[in-house]
Amino acid sequence: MTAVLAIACKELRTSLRNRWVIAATLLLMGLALALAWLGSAPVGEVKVDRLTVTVVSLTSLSVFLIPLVALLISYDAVVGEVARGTMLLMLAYPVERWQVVAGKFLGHLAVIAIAAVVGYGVAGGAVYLAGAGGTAGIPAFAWLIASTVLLGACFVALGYLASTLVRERATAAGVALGIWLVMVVVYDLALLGVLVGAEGVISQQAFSLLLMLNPADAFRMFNLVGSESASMIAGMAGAAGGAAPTRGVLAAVLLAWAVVPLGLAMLAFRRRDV
Amino acid sequence: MVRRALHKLLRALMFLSHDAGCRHVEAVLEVEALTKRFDRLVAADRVTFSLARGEVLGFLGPNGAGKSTTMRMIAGFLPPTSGTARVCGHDVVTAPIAARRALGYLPEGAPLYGEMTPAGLLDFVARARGFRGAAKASRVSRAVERLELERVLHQPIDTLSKGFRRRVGLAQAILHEPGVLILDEPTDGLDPNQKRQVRALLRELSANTAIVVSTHILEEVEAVCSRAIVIAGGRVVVDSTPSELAARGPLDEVFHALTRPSEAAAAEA
Ligand SMILES: Nc1ncnc2c1ncn2[C@@H]1O[C@H](COP(=O)(O)OP(=O)(O)OP(=O)(O)O)[C@@H](O)[C@H]1O
Ligand SMILES: [Mg+2]
Repeated sequence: MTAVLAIACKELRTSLRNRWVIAATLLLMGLALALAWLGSAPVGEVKVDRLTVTVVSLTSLSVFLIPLVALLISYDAVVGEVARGTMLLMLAYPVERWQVVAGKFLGHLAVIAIAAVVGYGVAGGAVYLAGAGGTAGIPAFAWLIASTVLLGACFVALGYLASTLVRERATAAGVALGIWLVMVVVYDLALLGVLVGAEGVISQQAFSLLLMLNPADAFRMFNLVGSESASMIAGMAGAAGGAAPTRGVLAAVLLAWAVVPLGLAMLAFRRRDV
Repeated sequence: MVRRALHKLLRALMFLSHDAGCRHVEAVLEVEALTKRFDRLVAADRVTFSLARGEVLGFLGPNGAGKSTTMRMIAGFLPPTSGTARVCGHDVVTAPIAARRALGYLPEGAPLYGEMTPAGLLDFVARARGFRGAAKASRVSRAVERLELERVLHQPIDTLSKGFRRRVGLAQAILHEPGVLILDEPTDGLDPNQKRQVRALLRELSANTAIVVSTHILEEVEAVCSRAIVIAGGRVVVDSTPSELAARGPLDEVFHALTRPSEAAAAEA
C-alpha cells in the first residue's frame, strides 16, 4: 500500500509541477462560471433555483470536457514511460506491476478530483452567493461533483488500457481521441439515428438501456434523472420516459466502466514487455 | 580474532533482520543457463556465473552481445526464456519482489524522471522501497552524501549536467544498500574526471556488495573489477580476471578474435 501511495503522490506532484492540475482547474472553473452566468437568464420562467440550472449546464460541460481531460492525462501513462525508459527504473523497485497502475490511477484521479471540486465548487459557491435561489440545489450540486470524479475515473481507466496495449505514444494519442469521439459524440448520434431512422425497431426500453451503457450518457442521466426539476429543464422527462433507471443503477454502470478497464489494464501490463 | 568473532555476530544479526544487503548468503548472485530468445535471435544463450560479496564483475562485449538483455533478466522485468537467476537466494521469476528488494539497478542510459528534482526522486524511491520517517531520511541523506548531490538537490533533473544526472541514477540504485548492484554502462558518456569518480565509488561500494558493471572499456575493468566476463553473440566466451584479459592484447582485437568463431558457428548452423 505504501508503494501505491508513493506512486500516486509522485504522479500528482508531477501533474502539479507541469501545470496539469492548475490548467484543468482553471478551465473547469472558467467555463463553469461562464455557464452559470449565462444560465441565470431563464430562471424567471421556470420555477427552479439557480443552482439546479447550473447543475444542468455543468452536466453538459462535464460530459464533453472531463473525458477529454481524463484521456489527455492518461494516454501517455504507460507507453510514455516505457518509451522514456523510466519504466525500467520503476519496475526495478519492489513493487508489483498492478501497484504501478493503481498508483498512477490514484494520482491522475486526484488531478480530476481537484479540478472538479475546486473548479465547480467555486462556480457553485458564486451562484449560491449571488442568487436568491436557496439551498434546494445543493445536494444535486454535490452529486454532480462526485459523479464528475467518477466519470473521470472511467476515462482515466480507458486511457490506461489504451496506453498499456499499444507500442507507440502516437498510437495511444490516436486511440484516446478515438475513444472520446466514439463515446462522447458518435454514440449518441448513432443511437438517435437508429431511433429516428428505424422507428419501431428498438423500443423505448432498449433505447434507454443502450443509452445508459455508455458512461457519458450514464453520467448525464445520473445528474438529470436525479432531480425532477433538473430533468424538466433539460427536457429529459419525456425522453427517458417511465423506464428511467435509478441513480444507483447508473452509478453502478459508471463504476463498472472505471473498474473493468482498470483491471484489464493491470492484466495487460503484467504481460507487457518494457 | 576479535574482529572475526564480531563479524560472525554481525552476520547472525543481519540474518535476523533480513536486510537488502542479505549478508547471510555466500553467493549473492547466481545466474544459471539464463537464456533469452527474441523470435529467432538468441540474445542471451545459457549465460552462467555466480558472484560473491566483494566481487566486482566486468561485463564486456561488443554492441548487441546481450549484456543489457542479461542484466534486464537479472533485474527481473525481462522474463527469461529459460534458466534462472537468484539474487540473494531469491529467484527473480518466482520471487521477484524479494529479489528486487536486494537489488539495485541502473538501466542503460540512466533514464530518470526529468521533471523531478533529485530530492523528490530519492524521496520517492525510498518510499517505494518501503522506508519511512527517520529511516527514509537517513537513507536519502546517505545516498546524497555519497554521490555529492547536495548542490543540485532541488534543481529539476532535466536541467542537470550529464555527470550529475548519472550520479542521481547511481544514488537511486544504492539508496537501500543492496546486496547486488547491476550497473549497465554507468560511465558511458561521462568525462574522464566523472568516470574516475564513478570508479572510485564502485571500489568503495564493493566492500559490501556484489557488483555487475557492463562497459566497453578494458581499462575500466582493470581499474575496478576483480573478474571479467566477455559475452559475444549471447554467450559467455571468457570468464577470467582483468589482468589475464588484458594480457591478450587490445580489447577490440580480443572482441574480434572471440566473435569471429561464433559468427562462423552461427553461419554453419
Ligand atoms: N525487445 C527486443 N526485441 C528484439 N530484439 C531485442 C530486444 N532487446 C534486445 N534485442 C536484441 O538482442 C541483442 C542483444 O541486445 P543487448 O541490448 O542485450 O546488447 P548489449 O550487449 O547490451 O549491447 P550494447 O553494447 O549496444 O548495449 C541485440 O541484437 C538486440 O537487437
Ligand atoms: Mg547494452
